[in-house]
Amino acid sequence: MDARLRRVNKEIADCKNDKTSKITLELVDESPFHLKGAFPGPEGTPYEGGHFEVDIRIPDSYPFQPLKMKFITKVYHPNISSASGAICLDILKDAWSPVLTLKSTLISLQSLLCSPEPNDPQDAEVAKHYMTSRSSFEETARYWTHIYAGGPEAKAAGKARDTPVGAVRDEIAIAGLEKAHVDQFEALGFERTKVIDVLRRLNYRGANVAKITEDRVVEELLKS
Amino acid sequence: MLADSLTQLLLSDVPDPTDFPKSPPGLRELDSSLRCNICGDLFDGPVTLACGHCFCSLCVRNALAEKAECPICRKQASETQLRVNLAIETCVAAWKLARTHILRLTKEEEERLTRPKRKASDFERIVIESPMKKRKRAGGYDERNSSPTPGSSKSPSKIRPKSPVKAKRVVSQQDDDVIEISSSPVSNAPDIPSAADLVTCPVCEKEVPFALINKHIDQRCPPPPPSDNDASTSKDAQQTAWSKLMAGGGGKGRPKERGIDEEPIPKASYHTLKDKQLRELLLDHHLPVSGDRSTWITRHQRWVMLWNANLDKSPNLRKSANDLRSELKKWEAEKTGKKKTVVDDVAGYEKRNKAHFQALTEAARPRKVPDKSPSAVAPGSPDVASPLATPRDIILVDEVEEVQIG
Ligand SMILES: [Zn+2]
Ligand SMILES: [Zn+2]
Ligand SMILES: [Zn+2]
Repeated sequence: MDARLRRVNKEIADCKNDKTSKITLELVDESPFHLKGAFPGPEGTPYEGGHFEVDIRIPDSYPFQPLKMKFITKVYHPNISSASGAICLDILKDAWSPVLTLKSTLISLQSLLCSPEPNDPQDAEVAKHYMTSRSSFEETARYWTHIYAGGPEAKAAGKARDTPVGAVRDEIAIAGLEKAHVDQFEALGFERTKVIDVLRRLNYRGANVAKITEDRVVEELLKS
Repeated sequence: MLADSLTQLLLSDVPDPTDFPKSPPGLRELDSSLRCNICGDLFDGPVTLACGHCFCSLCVRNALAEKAECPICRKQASETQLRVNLAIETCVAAWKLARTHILRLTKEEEERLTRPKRKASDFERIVIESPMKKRKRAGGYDERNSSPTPGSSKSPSKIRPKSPVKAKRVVSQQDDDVIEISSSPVSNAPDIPSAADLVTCPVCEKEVPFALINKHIDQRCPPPPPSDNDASTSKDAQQTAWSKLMAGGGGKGRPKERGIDEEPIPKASYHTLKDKQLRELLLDHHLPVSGDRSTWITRHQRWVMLWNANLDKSPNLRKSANDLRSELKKWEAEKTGKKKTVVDDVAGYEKRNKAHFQALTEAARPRKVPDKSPSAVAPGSPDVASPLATPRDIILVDEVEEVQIG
């Protein structure tokens, strides 16, 4: 058995035997070097109660090259791409060390959820949201945890789901916007999806709403 | 097929510190402290960095080639700092000799301590199942097929391995305990395969009759006598180039083969070398010059790493230059295997290992003894007489048997 396989074998066994970390690993396909990891969202964060899955690829030169990881579960977090699940974390890049393991790396991802680094963002829009209105950001993150990671229902957004127009409200909540704002521009004759897209890009949230004029929004809507 | 996955699981059993129970204290820690943090195996040619952290020479040379820092504490580090750690090397050699024996003693002790504390109903099942499983860990072979009479008090140590699979396991489980094969103090123990059983050579991983294994290793792994499960080998130019060199041919007029107690090879600054000089460099070490310039460079870099790491071991533990060449060849094949079509074997290999990993991920490995100290069980108290640990073991064995039937 080659050294890499031996090490991966030991690492999987180690995860299996560690009942306290709550980290799980499973095979994805034919290869022992393509795994799916999962862990619970950390307590006391908007990710609490969620179950987060991570795609893991173990490169040929592991452990001398870092593990390749990305979120399978959609996560609303400044250092995680809301579209692709790509992760911005130093140990997955330059700060990798061959003594790091599947388990320790997944634990690092878990703690990344506890402490975002908005100054080194993977998703600029989410980072902007995080910087401008923390409570609004957290509400959206909680909502994403609920709908994508099976977390508990978030207060405000959760209620919206049960209304007949739930699907539309979801779309707005997922973007972390207010329905009133979207309605306002939709009433001017713009398509709802366009409005959501532009408002999200402009970070039309919290205190920012006062700083961005209606004209500016309309201008962007006409351009798009 | 599912039974096959079980076989794979057992065959691939990789020794690690959790083979030892948490109690008696210190054994797990001892085993763990003699392992490299990079590969997880017992130190092979241990070297220490300026910060004091210790790794296998080859492991840390590999790591330093990527980044000039200690993999553990991240202090600045370089190959020039490496110092051979003779004390640890000696310690590992002794531990390899003692490990299996101590493992068996701890398992026996554990059984002795837990047995009288079971309820009568549990007792029967445990006698049948649990010791088998535990003995399998300790003795390094699978006793499940030896089916002792239910309820009998047959001692597990009387059970002998019969099939080649079991015999193979003995060696494969001791993958990094090579010494035991030739000079093990437990060589009179009952779990020794019979002479005709095929065992996996821990050096070249070929299957060799047990009776010939010592000779095979002493002769530096010549091809074993033909057997029906011989994998067909591809014969491209590369292959031929390698085998010619392995046969000891070398280039015409080349210097004599280096002895194994030679000097370390200095690193070359490849960008200053012309193609011709690069080829010379490879030929000096009896390495093939197939491939392009970048292949030559990677080949030479890897060779320097293997060679210098080998010199960090005590002379009696060093590999021969030919073994190192085999290793280099294997490494190249693995590296290019993904792009080229050496697939035949690779696919089978991955499939076999998939089965193994499936088993690993679906059921926690039965080899692991849950953390519990036997003394934690109140003696003579029937209510706590079946601690979580052992019933769980039994369940696992049951699952495994179902799998075999299905
Ligand atoms: Zn190592
Ligand atoms: Zn260090
Ligand atoms: Zn001395």
